[in-house]
Amino acid sequence: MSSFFSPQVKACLIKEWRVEARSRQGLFVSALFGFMALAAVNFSTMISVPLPGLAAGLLAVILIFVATVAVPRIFLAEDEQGTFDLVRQWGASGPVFLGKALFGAIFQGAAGFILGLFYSGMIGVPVVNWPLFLVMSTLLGIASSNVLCLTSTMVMTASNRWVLASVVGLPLLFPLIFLGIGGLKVSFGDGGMEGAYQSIAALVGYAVVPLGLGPMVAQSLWTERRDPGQKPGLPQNKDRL
Amino acid sequence: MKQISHLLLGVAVAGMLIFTFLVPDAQLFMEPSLARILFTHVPCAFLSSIFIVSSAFFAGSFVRKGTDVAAAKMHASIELGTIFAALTMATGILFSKIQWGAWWHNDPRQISFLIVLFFYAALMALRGAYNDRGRMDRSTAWLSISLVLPAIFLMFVFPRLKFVEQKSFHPTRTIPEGQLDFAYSFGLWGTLVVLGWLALVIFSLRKRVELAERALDDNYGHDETGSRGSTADGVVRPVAVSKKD
Repeated sequence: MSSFFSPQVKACLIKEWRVEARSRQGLFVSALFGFMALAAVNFSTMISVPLPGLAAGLLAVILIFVATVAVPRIFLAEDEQGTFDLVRQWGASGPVFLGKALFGAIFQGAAGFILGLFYSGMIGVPVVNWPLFLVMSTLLGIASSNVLCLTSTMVMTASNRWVLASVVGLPLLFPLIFLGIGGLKVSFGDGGMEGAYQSIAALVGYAVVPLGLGPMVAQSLWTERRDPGQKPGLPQNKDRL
Repeated sequence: MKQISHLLLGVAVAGMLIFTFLVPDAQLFMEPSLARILFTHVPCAFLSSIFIVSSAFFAGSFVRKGTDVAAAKMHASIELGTIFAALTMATGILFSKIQWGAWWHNDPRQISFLIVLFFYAALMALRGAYNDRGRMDRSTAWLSISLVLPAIFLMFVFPRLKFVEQKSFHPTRTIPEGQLDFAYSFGLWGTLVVLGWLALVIFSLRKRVELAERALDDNYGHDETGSRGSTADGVVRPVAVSKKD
């Protein structure tokens, strides 16, 4: 069972951090896409200020799509650059997944926090509960990232993997929009705290489940030596040769 | 024996079809005669729910045992579930237009079922993206397992949330509390049984076809020759052009 505190997870997290610090590709993509989405929403709500429910929904959609653009890269670029085989030899699948997922969660949590702050200033709907608003924005980013890490693991060696990561991930992200609206609209002054607490609890659950499932998926899909679909005695790794 | 069973199935399908046209019109609807759409809509929704759970069950079995039989059952469940989900959506949209006046009502149940349909679409898309059968099976199995909880939430929990019950045109208590009259109740459950029987027969056939395909691939040793390969340069088996070849 992989743990978040294992040295392998920490090493993988540091490796991801250094790769990002070197190229800043994820940062640029997330920031550009996020701010363009904010500008587009601001442009479309110029004439009339949206109601709290709609304002909450728009922010949830922005955060989810920013994650869809930024997170799969953590996994897919690794395979395309040809460095994934080395990573897989260096560490066990579970900790590698958790290291990458942790990096994605930190990155998207920060993106959610920052984009939420900018959104609150641009949308024109006053935030009445700031702690709830910031917690929801950050949690939405983290939960989206964890779900996308799981689906990216599944599509890593598929054809059209970049498109497929979004196609497979988005249906799983739809419930986050409901949950995001449920919590964020309370922070905009619509509804009671009971609903907000339920949304937070559900979001935490949605963020944790992929972390439990992910190492098992990675172990099953990234380990070329054990292929349940193949009969004993057949050549292994034949598609890679 | 199998022929008799298939003959009985044909008779049952025909019998239920005739019965659903003989029941009296449901007067409370805007277009009473077309309320019969629910005889197709509701059983298809039930069956698509069953197949998404069964696909996850067989996916779990495949992950544990890695057998071709479990994989074939998983793929058959996904394909049948997709068909029934699409039928549910099509009949629902038709019902919405006829009885409620618009093709799409933003009804929470319509939206939640659309997401379930997207789940099936995601499974089909993932299956189609792998040329290697082993990887396709494993990826599909894990996605199927990942999707089952959100799908159960969307199909069984979400419709019973208070705000959904208040906003939705879909009644949530009519069938469980037995508010349908005998003819409609018999028509609904009868159609469900007959369609379920039909689905089981197709499921069994699909499983056999999948296993036969796998046996053929194993004998020739080329995964890429199957119809689901997405590469342009698939491997072609040698074919005999004369009796001497």
